[in-house]
Amino acid sequence: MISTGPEPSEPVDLRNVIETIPALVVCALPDSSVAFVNRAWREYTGFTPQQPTESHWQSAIHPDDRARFLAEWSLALSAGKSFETEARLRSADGRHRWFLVKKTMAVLRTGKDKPSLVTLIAFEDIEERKQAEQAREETQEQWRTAFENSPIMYFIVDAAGALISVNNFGAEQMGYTVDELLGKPLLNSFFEPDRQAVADHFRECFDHPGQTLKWEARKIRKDGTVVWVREKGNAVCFRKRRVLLIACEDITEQRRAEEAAQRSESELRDVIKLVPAYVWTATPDGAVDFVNERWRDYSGLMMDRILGWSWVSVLHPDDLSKVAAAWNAAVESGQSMEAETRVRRADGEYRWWFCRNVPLRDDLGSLVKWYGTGIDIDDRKRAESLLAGEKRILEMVARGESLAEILDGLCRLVEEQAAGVLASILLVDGGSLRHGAAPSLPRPYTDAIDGAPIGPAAGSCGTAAYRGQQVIVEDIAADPLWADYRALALSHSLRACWSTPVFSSQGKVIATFAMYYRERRSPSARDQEVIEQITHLAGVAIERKLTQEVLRRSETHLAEAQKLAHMGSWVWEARTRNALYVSGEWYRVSGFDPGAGTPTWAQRLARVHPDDCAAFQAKIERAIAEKSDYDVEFRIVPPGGPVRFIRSVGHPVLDPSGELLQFLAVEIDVTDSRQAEEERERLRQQLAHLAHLDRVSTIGELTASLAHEIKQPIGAAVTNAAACLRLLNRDQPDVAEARDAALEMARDARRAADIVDRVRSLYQKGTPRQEAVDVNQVIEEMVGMLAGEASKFSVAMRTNLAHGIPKVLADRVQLQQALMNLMLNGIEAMHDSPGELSIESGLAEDGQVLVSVTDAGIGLPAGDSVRIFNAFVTTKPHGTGLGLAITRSIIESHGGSIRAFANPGPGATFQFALPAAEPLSA
Amino acid sequence: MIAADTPLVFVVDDDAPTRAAMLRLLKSVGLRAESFASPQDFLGRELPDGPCCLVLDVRLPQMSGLDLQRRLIADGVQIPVIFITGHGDIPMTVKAMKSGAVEFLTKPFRDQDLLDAIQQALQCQTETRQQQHEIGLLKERYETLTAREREVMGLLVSGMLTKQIASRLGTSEITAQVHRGQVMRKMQAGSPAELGRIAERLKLPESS
Repeated sequence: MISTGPEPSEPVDLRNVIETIPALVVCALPDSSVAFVNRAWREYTGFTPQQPTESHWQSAIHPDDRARFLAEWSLALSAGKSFETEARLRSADGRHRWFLVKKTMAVLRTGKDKPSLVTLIAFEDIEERKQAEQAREETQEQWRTAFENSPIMYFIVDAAGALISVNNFGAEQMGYTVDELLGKPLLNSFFEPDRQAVADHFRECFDHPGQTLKWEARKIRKDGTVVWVREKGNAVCFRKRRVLLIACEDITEQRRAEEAAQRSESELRDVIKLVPAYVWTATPDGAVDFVNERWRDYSGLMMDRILGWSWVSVLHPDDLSKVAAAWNAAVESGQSMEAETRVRRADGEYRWWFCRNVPLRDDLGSLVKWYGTGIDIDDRKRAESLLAGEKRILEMVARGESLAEILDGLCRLVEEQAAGVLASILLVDGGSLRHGAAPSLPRPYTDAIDGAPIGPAAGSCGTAAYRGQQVIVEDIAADPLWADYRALALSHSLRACWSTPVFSSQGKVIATFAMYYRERRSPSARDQEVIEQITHLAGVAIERKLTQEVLRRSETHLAEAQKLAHMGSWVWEARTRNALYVSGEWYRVSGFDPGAGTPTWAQRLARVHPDDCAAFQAKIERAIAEKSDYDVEFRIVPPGGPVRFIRSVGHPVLDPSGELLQFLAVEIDVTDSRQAEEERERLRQQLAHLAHLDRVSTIGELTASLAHEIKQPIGAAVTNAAACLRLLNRDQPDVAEARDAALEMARDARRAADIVDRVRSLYQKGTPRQEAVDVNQVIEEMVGMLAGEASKFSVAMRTNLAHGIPKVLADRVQLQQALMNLMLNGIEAMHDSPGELSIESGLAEDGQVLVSVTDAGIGLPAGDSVRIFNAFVTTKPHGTGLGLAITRSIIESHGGSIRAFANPGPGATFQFALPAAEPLSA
Repeated sequence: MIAADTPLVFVVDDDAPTRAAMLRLLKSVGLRAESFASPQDFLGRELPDGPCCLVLDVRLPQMSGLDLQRRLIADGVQIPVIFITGHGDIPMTVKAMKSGAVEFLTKPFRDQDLLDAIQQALQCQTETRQQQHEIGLLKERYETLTAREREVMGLLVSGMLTKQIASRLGTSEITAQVHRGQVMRKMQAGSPAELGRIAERLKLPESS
């Protein structure tokens, strides 16, 4: 349109040409001033020719485009480069249109003016094109957005299977970025076992372009998880390339739900098959359209004999009308129903079912189906009935009703349980059977068999009692056991008889229980169950009755025994202290009149000796507070009678929660034993007194020896004192030696004091006091004390003491005395023939502690080894004869024993044994 | 400090503290002392030639002090004995003193009494020893006599004259005279009276 570059030879007036062209042109001079604008410009912008200046034409550019435009413009000017851009220009009516702006240089000759180089700026209207372009871009944008954000995965693959494109959603769903997937074979993303099938689908798509195929397959995500997808593929031609478009949907959840549904359906089938119930469904009109296997097996019927209304044929005739009516009513009302009915089993036995029908309704509330279940409650029913019967029988037992009535009840219970049975119970009485109960058997028959013998072939019952085993006779007419009774039984048309022995808890046959039938019959498992229950119950009832007899007898015996033992028993309530039960003897022991009724607590307290009352009450209160046993002794003062000693022992009875209810107590008249005890105590005192006298007199006799013995340490002390003084008084005092002398002196003085103490303790007349005593120590002490007496008669004393022997429980002084007596005895025996006195300790095999004193003296009088311990028997010329008797009393009062025996050589040995205070520790 | 010829005191007592106290006392005055728990132990000890004495407890097991004293006398052991007892009675004391005890002390005794008794005992022993020595000499002399001379000596001691002796022995008076002279010379007796004392000391039986 516009020639570029100066064409001097061009004759045409360029300005005119420019004026005519449809493009908008601005001609600018080198100084940027505007030479002119063409007509098209003027018409478009509405500017007059004089108006446009540089700023003017630029101001026509849309403000949004202006800055960019001017930047490009000035760049083009300064670099002298070509220029092409797009910008919007404002039209005269104020609207803007898009223009393509180009710049070109031209030589302009205008009239007389010399030609000048100008810049032509041409504006070509591109508004239409621009709009079309924008519209296209928008559409593209929409599609791209749709493609990228669609909740469907899109894949595009080439004919080789490589992925050309994938939307973001698709990549994300598979756990990848788009870039990670592009160019890779799409088949790789499928679960390996599915790949071949998918590859086949791809090929088929390419073979049939434009045709959409669908398939489902598993894909593997980047994290390794497997997802189920449903894909649609369509091969198209895209830029002359065959590509496959695939839209892909994740159907994993859907799949899972389907699988779960399938599983639960199969589970339901299993449940219906396995459930221990009979299950059926019925159409809304009440026709059964399904029963489970269990139902079919139970009835033994073919399906067509059950479905619809055929099932009613297995109902018990007595229940049929009732159940059918209830079912009809339910179908009518659409309400669920329940019923108990007997249903015939394949073997012909009717069993009780509990049935329930429940309607299933759809969302609109209309009944679509009936579901029904039946549960076999026959065992429960029977058990209930048997249990109720048992309870009835046990109540009869508890009420103490007569055995005949109880057994009668038992027989009737059996007859309720099984139809056609005639029950009989016979009691074992020595070698024969006595009539117990048989309410349904003919009287002449029971009379005839009453007193029948027990034997190896004595009908069912006599044989069962004989064998201690159940005897089943299915046919009385044929069984040899019935030889003696066959005619009798058959005459009363009894055909079968099963008899079972009834055992006591000790395993003794006490009765027989028999079930008679009027036809040949053998017991079913259920019959055996009933038999077992009934025989057990009969055992309990009969034994209980027998025990009651025994109990009555033993109560009589107890009363006798209490009377003999002066022992009364009673039970009293802890809260009120009231007696709940007292035995006959209790009255006599406590000194109350049985005719005056049970005494109150206060009356009882009034009888207690005033001196004992406080202690008695304290013990009882404590037993109540602590819920513990009590054992109390007290005196009672019966009116007009002598004081009696009573020992009362009580044991608390607690309820299951530990609450104290009562005390079970016995009271014993211990007056006699108390008096004996007092007598024993008096004897003990006498012994203690006598022993004391003996000690005192013995020590009196020993005075000279003891004085000698005590003078030993005193003499030593005096000598030491003298030596001490002399050592100190020397020209060169020997202080060290003097100090030793002084120490020695102190020791001597203590020795003297010890002897005095020992002697004094023997003088004491205290109450005997038991303590754990080391016999070795006692021996050492007595050896020390009697050293003087021994040396007076030139008797050497030697000890041989066993170490580690246990202590004995004894009164130390009395033990010393016993030993002293034996030692003095030995010394005295050697007055005329000085020798050795040996004292030994040891442990006997039975754990007792042994002490023996052996002398070499005159020995024992022949045959006197026992008599020697009696009082006033003495072998010594000056003996009082009491010493050994007291020694024996002392040893025996300590639970020990003493004996004397002659030595193989000269002299005698006295040995005593005492029980150890505590067992020797191992 | 204590010389070997210092008198030795033996103590026999069955009470150990008493023995120890005695030893201490004796040592404090410079005496040598040894103690024994029983007479048997003491009898096993060889007695020294030097001066010694025995302090003896009366009451002892198995063998009493008095028994020991008797045994020593019987064995001819010359040792002065001082008795000590815790409880002395008169018969016991008499018995002991009769058997030649130096002293009889009762426990508790005064130390000076014991020491005095020991001194006395030792002195007594010295005298006894002297006498025994003299008697020994006399015995030696006596043993040099012939049988006839001993016969003559016996008769002389009984107061016979030479003539009577000759008559008695059936010898001549001259022979008797010779025997008499021999006896007097051998026995170193100055006079018949002295010879009589010697005979008495030798405890010769008197001829009758």
